[in-house]
Amino acid sequence: MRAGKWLTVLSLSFISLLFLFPFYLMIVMGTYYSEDLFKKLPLLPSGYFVENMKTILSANILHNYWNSFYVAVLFTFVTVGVAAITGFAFGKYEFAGKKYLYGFILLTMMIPGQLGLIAYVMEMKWFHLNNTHAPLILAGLNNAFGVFFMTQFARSSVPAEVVESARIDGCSEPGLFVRIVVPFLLPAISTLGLISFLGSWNNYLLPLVTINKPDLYTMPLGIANLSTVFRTDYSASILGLTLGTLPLIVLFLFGSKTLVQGLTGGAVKG
Amino acid sequence: MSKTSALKGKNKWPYLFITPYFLSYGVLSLFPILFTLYISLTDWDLYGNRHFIGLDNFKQLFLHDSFFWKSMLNVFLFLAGYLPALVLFGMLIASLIESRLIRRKTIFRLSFFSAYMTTPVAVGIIFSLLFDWQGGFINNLLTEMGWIDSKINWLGSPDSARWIVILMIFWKNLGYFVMFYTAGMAGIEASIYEAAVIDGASSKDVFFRITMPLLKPINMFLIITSIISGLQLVEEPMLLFSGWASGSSMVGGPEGSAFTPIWYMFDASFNGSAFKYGKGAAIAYSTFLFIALFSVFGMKWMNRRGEEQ
Repeated sequence: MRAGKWLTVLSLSFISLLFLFPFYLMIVMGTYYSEDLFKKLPLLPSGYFVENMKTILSANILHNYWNSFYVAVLFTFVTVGVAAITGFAFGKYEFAGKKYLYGFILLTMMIPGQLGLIAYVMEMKWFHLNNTHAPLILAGLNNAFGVFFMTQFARSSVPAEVVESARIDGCSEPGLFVRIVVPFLLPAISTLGLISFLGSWNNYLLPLVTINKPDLYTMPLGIANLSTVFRTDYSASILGLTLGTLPLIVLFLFGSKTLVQGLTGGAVKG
Repeated sequence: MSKTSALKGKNKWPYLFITPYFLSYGVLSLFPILFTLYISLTDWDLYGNRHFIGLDNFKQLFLHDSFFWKSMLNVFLFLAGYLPALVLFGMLIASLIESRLIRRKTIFRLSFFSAYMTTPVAVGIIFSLLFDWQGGFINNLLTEMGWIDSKINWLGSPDSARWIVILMIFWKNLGYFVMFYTAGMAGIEASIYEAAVIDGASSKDVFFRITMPLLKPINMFLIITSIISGLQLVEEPMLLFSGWASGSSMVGGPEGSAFTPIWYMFDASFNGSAFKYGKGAAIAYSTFLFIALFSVFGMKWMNRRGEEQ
């Protein structure tokens, strides 16, 4: 039993270290002087980290961060806001046509997002919104999965009695939503918020086709262009890659429990 | 009863609440989807052509475009490569994590999940760093060890390029599968396992006769959603061959061996000198057709399997 335990722990540790090795390599390579990178295997950190850091900070990477951050915040805000109020309406009201409208939303969940991409980009040009961040944020306004998720949650977690008594006390319907319902929806709001934030942060194709000013680049665009910016400085590019990806991964590991519950919730009960 | 009566006279509110969603859906999703369908029936491009040409784009794609079929074949080859591996290794690793021998389960779960949360762009770049011909880590390691005499051009030949894409998607999605399986296994009652052990079942029996059948609904979900998202694969192979590490980009990989339908759509409509929106739109709709087909068959298959039990 004891030997079996150690064997399990060791093999699992080995597998996960092997799995994490690409990340380790990426971190370590960013600490090398570019010329030294190919002289021997970069297995241990070298001493050129600060120099590379100076190079990379002189470029746009902090700006990319800010762009990605504020776009993701606004995207999350509109996604969650619209999904919450729509989910409340579908989860807690009876109205004519509700069944069909909700069925329609479920149907649209099946349609892949890229289907309308070409016309969406054209439409944004007609509105003179290309080369702004608006196309990236507006895309959050109609998230069918978000509405589905909120409806399910509102139906089961917002008690009808509480809503009733607030109504009797003379609370208006919008006031009811903001003051009474939103607090009950908070767990779902944080889960959907994390999923939306991650989705916006990782989005590459849409900014690629709507934005061509380096000033407006979001993180994935910035990362993809690092190699052109630092053509001769390979290590600096790799450090940029590390800085562009790692902080968010670490940040999300803390919120992963909520995230995982949201992701697996549809398929796994409990 | 009291619920409905209390809501009478306030009927305008639910409609007002759902208006923002449906309004934005109409303008920002439904219109683009329908308009893309129209574009797919024209020769629309950047240079002002806008003639209605009926189904010509689709005829061209289905009958004469070997790249379209190749990109379709590719995504299915990739799926055939990584999906069974994800199911198998996902379950094995999850059952190791969930075994009573492991105490710090969260650390292991999260270490696998980290790749899933990594920006797809970075995933492609990381693998191009690993498998680059001249400076890549794998080649340097193999030559240092003396296992190979001359460096292998991993990303330069169609077969190895496909395997690297498969390995890359496997690496990215393994944590996602592990998460679902651990969640599913944690939901299986301990008493079922205890009863099996008392009846003298070996751990192999327990895995194949208890764990796997109970995970079937999760498997169905994972397989169908993986096929749907697998057909839409684009960013990771795109960045793998963007020349980030090597300096020379290669659209579609060597001989188009890593081309995917959505990549092709992007390349036809937004890249290079083409800007053929009509062709791009036709590729988008053709891909969607395949996705819809597989979703319907997948659901049918899922329902039938469900009824059999």
